[in-house]
Amino acid sequence: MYITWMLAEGHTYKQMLPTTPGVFMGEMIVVTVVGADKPGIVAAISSVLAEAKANIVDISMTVLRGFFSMIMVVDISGAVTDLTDLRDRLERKGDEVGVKVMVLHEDVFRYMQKI
Amino acid sequence: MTKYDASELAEIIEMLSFQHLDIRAVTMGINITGALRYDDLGEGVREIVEKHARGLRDAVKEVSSKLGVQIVTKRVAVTPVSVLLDAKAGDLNEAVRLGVSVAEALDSAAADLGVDYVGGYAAFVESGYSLGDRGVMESIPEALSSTERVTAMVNAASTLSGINMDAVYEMGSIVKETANLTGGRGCTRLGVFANAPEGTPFVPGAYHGRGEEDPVINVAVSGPGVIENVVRSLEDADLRTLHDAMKRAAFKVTRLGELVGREVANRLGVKFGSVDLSLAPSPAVGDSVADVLRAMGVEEPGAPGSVLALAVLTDAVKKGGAMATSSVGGLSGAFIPVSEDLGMAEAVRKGSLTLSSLEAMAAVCSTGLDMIVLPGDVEEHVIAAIIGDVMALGIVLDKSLGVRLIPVPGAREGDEVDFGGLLGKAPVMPVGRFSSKALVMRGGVVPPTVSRLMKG
Repeated sequence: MYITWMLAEGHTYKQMLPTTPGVFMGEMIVVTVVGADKPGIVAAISSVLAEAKANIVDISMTVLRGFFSMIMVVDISGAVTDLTDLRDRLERKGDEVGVKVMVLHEDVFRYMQKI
Repeated sequence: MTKYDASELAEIIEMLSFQHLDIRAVTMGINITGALRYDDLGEGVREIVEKHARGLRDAVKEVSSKLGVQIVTKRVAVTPVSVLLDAKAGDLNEAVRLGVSVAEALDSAAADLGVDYVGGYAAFVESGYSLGDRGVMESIPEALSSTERVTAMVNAASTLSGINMDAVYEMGSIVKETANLTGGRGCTRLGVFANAPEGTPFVPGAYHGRGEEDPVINVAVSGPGVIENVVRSLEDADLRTLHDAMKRAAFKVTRLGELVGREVANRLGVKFGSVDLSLAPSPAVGDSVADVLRAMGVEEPGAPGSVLALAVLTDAVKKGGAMATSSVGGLSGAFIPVSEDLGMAEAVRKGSLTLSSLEAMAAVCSTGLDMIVLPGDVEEHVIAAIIGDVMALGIVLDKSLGVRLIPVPGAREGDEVDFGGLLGKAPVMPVGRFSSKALVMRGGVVPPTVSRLMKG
């Protein structure tokens, strides 16, 4: 469903897929959406990313603090806005649709999870 | 970029979003001895600090914004001010006057730069005094009462030199005088140390050491909430398993400090010094070292078993942290402040945590007695005796320990005192009816222990 929607929003399969299996290139951020599940959330958040020309390269679903959550790995190396601006837009959009959006740089995960 | 599975991503997001993991402080160390070239010492200090730390606020903001990680405070640590006074002052009066002017210059530079604290109003007197040391000590009450952001420390003991009991006794009076001039608040910026290490990003222990790069960035992390969460998820685990899990979590916490330190240093074009891997608590719910001890199985901190639990925690934090960074600095252990840790303050309220139990716990932590609120009428010799106990632990165990006691004028045992913000609130602790006045009044120097001889 997300893939169909993202294609409709102008993402290409190539942009969505890692260039080498299991390895992403470019500067990555991790966008987390936490909140009660309801229609339109994925569309709202993805549209902000698409407008900024940021590519979603991976999406996973998990439960954070008992809430259904969506975690997206996003390539921002071709983005037309800087990270601070993108974070503001994502957080504002999150407020509009009633979810919490968190944006972290991939470096944080690489430093903390990999030796 | 390596690929992560959902649980790896979720774990870090949980730590940063729900377990209060943040960077407690980014501290820039600056050598201010160049101020001696100026006719006006205060002006020289101000110019040097402003030259180096001008970009600190923006660099910290940019790194925080890039990574999405909160950086709570920005600090500066300078060369011990006693060094400047030694070079510039002709007598004690001049040393005191110059000392206060340097403190005020540091304070106003910090305010202009958006820096929360400046550490380094310091003297090292473990085996005796210089004129500059005396100038710093005499002027501490005035320097702290006429500033908001300056922190002061006196190193009164070391493994190599023993304990300067004259200085310890004097610090009893200085703590009292500072309290009287500031309603107690100034004492939150005053510490007495044994073996004070260089590169401490935490105040009041922060100062810029002779062996450090100039300038340099040192980083302090938080993380009790992360460790507590890990412990709570392992309710039935034996202690070795628990230790291993805490060690792994501490590794991740320290890595975050390393990342932030390197990023800030890179942006400023200065050298990254070290991460202090201590878990710093805050007065927020879920950010408490006391709650880690409770999760481990101690009913209330202070109960028998508290030293055991804290020792396990401290060791796990050190081992995990040591793997995470090759630049370990500062105090690097577990912190057990009272007012700055909601759970510790609660244990005092319940009557479980006392001065004696804290002294025992100090033997296996890294800060010593920290942020302890005392009755306003506590006598100077009692404060000195408490300091003396911690100095003794410091030289016998060959470790860094400090004492930050806060007598609050007019406050009595059991009264609640609120310092606000990160400093937190706590009840006034009882000091006991019996004293060691005759002992501390003997003065002199306690010789170093055999640990000194083992060093060659």
